[in-house]
Amino acid sequence: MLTLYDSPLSPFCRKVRMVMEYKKLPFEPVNESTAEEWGLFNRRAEIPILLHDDLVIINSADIVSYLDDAFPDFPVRPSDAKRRAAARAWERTADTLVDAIVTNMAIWTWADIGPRPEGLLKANQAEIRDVYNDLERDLGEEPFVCSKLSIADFALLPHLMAAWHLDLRCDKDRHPRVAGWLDRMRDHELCRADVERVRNWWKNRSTSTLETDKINWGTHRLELYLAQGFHERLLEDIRHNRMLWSAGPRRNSLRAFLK
Amino acid sequence: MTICLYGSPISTFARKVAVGLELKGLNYDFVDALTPDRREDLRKLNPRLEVPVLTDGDITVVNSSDILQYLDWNYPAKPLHPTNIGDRVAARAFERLGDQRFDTIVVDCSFWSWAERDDTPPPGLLEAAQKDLDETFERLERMLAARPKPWPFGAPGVVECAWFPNLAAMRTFGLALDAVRFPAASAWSKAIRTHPVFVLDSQRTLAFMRDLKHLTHERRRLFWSGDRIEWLMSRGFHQWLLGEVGAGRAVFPGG
Repeated sequence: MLTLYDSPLSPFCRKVRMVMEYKKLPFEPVNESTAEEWGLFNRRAEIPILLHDDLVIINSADIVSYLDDAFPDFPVRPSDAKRRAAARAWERTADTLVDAIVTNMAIWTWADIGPRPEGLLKANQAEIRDVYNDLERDLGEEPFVCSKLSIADFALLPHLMAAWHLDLRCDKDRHPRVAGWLDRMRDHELCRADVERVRNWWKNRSTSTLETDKINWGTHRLELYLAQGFHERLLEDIRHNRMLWSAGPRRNSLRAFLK
Repeated sequence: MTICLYGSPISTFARKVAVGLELKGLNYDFVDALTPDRREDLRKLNPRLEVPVLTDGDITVVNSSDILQYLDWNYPAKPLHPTNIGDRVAARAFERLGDQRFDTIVVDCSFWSWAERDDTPPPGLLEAAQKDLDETFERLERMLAARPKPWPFGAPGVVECAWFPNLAAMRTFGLALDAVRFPAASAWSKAIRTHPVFVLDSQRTLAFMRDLKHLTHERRRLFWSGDRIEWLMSRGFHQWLLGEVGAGRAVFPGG
């Protein structure tokens, strides 16, 4: 029996859920759970968490590897060594860099922590342009990032769909292959189902208890924010008690942004 | 095909891969990629300017745990990951605990031993580190006590590779693994530190650290990545860290 602690709010959960659906695995999604429950399985109190009988697997990339090992049908990791290394590299770029760029911009659309610091949009636009350049190069004439549909596509998609709404779009003239890939992915039935779940979540948002006066920057998001020079603003947010830490005594509370 | 490891004896994650290659008995070339003159070569392989990077023919793999996974995938003899799938999940969880928690805390306390610094550790840093380490050791102890001795997964593998560099170094930085409180972890640590592959790596790093003052490696500005930033800040040492940033003594991946 497979159980997935899931949320349409987390790009990492969305990646794992799409992979499970692609692999045609029956599973029970747990959507209405709290960080207190997540803490029982993951000391960082982060989702996704996968339960398979008595095994607990955390961390989205490790869950995906586990699923491909335990259920080899419909693999999401390419079998060819070079493509496999490339797919994993893109998954890591999606999980660390692209997530940081997009989340660090998305925060200001829902959090109630004062105005977005000046220069943040420009810094992240430059950052994501490099990602689009690399993606344009790697797509070449292929329909998907590593030729066939793979974990690279599922990992990138939630972030790049969100980027579309955050002034972080790709330029269709400069990145025609990326734009074509995005259209192809959005047309896929798995992705349509994913978008539907996300839409429904935002539609019913008023009934949810998303905490908006504190944010959890998390590891890579924090690193990017500091690397871009926003340390003074960060210090201000810490002083005003606007921070949550996955690693600290004050863990994530209800539905804070998670990986 | 020739395997080449771009690493450095000062990098805990590069050492993790070096011992992994040696446990598997794979021949490889080694390049210390953290010298200033190799900076632009490293950037081409990994824009984050981090080691380790492994090249194997025309394949480039970045990130220590991805590299060890790649090696087991491409060279299945003498695997570093357990073959049983449940054990593999457990080993990966303890590899991650070593990489993201143990390494983070020990490295955050290491700067006053090797970097060029005019200050002492911020008050309370070592105490906070030891407290979090003890919690980490408790988890390690429980896992080790319930598994075969001396190697919990049958042979040295990813968990030993990940924990080894900091188990060997932590005492130098004023941190301890209490043998009375954590007997299984202490016995495991001793088994690792007396294994020939790990002994050889320790000797390389000791020789390197003795010469470090005369080498060109950056010792003034410290390199900060996500986990290490997060732990310091979550423990309330933001003032110190952000002071470092303000004073221009912090370097971030890629910068």
